[in-house]
Amino acid sequence: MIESLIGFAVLLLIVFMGFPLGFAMVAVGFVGFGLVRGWEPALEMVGQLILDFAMSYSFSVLPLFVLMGAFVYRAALSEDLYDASNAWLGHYKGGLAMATVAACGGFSAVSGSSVATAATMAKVAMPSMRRYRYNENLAAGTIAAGGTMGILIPPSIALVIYGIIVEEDVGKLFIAGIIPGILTVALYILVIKVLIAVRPELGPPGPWTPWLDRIKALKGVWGMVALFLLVLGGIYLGVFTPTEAGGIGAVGAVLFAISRRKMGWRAFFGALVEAGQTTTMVFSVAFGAIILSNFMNISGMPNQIVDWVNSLDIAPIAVVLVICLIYIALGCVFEGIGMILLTVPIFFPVVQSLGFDLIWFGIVVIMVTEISLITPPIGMNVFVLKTILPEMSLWGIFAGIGPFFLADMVRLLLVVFIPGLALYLPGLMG
Amino acid sequence: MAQEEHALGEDGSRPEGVFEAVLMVMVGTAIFLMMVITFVDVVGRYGFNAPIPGGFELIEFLMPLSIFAGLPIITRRRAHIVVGILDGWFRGRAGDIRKLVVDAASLAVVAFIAERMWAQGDGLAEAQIESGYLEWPIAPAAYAIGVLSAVTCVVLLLMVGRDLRDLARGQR
Repeated sequence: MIESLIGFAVLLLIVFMGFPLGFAMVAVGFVGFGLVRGWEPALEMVGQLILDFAMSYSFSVLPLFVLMGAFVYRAALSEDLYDASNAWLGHYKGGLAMATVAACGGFSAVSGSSVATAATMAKVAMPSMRRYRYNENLAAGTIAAGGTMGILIPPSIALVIYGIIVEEDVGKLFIAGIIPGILTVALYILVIKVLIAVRPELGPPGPWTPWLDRIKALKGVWGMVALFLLVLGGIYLGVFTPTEAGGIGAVGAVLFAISRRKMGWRAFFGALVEAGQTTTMVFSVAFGAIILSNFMNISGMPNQIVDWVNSLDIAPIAVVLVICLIYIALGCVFEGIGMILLTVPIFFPVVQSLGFDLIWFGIVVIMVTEISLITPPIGMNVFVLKTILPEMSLWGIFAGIGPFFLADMVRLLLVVFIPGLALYLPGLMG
Repeated sequence: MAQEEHALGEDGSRPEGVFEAVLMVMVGTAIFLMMVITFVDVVGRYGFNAPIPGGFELIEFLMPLSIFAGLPIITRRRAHIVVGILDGWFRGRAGDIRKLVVDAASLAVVAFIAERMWAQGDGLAEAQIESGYLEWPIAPAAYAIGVLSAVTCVVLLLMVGRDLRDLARGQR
């Protein structure tokens, strides 16, 4: 136990100095393993693990879904999505912000990345909210918070990574994200409704769209809906494995982009290379996480944490709540994928031994990770917005996020205390 | 701060020089083939009752390439996921030293991985381990990871050299 605590402290120190997270984990994991178990087994472990995981079929789900997202990003559908949401919601008070939330949810359903969702939606939603004199902070907060749904609503790169570490079925994790995703859209829209009820000047209504035009506006998004239903429906019905769904989704996304005349050779090659770079970035940390967690395991850390927790004689759910609090605190300095890869190997054995479902815990982890994207001082989505809207102040964006942060807390508690929200749908898969 | 998905849009995919272009073609081809194989496999299985023989293993052999061919690029662009909360404390000369230490230590880790993968390859080649269905030898996959890691070491060596120059220049 003491070895892993020292190891973890060293790891944090060198990581905070700017050492690449993956390399740091490999180094600490190897040295720790060597000190506890001996150098010969440690050398063997590193080589064996990297080769096994680098040649794992089930991990190919990651590059394929990243690729699907890269193609979707190039299909430039955000405008059509926003127009369609706007046609249906824009005429309400605060309707343009609600439309932004809905469009973010829609974009998340084909993209697995929160940063991409926030970046894309900022470019289309911000100008039109400005035209209708929406409060700038509300507008930016809506986009930053709405963007976080990218990693909750399937397909999700973060869920794939979680699934890889805990060796759970990525398909079930995807399906588990659906109801919490819909809940998020509903809660965010509720937040906007409440804000507007108190201060109507924050978001004046947009124009009324005739019914015929509303139907017409859906034309631009049907392909995207079809792609989502194909990928998620296929997984849900067991027609194909998550990896196959990724392959089908990527091909579907290319065809979708071609049909929208957005896919030239250059964009095609660009998407492939981008997917490759993200794959390398994620796997170089994932290998480190797996080597590190091997060291933690042989040093007996997870077991001892479990024993310690049991000796405290507190309700298991209290442990989960403490873990959530740790995550929210960590989320202020850590970011997305790095946080998942660093913490999940430590927490999941504890949660598992307390008798909780790892699919459910995955959704909880993703939700606290979403929160990390919008909490000061470091919130990736906020920084993305700031790059796209340089004229806005960072604190203005954070202020706009405030009400959505409260909604995130409500949502987190709902899913923690009503696991069925995450587990009902995957339970039907058999 | 983490630099996840820094490559938004197409800027990240434009190669700088022949070296990057070759690696990008390798990565792109590997991922493209993975996509096509899974797609054709599923369509073949359901449409024609004829999945690709060994499609599963083809993917397994493509994975190392899709992961490690990007390593030199990511490293050169300093696009690894980092959480450098304290790196802002190191300014001027201290900053140069920090950069040198980080790059040199990264070099040590990647060199270690390269050596390990090469050893792994030797072990597999000696035992003549083959994949279950296609009966392809596994060793070349390990050697490929070793070579791509070694290429990354060259990149890091150049980066360390530049760090040293920066440090020397700062001193004058």
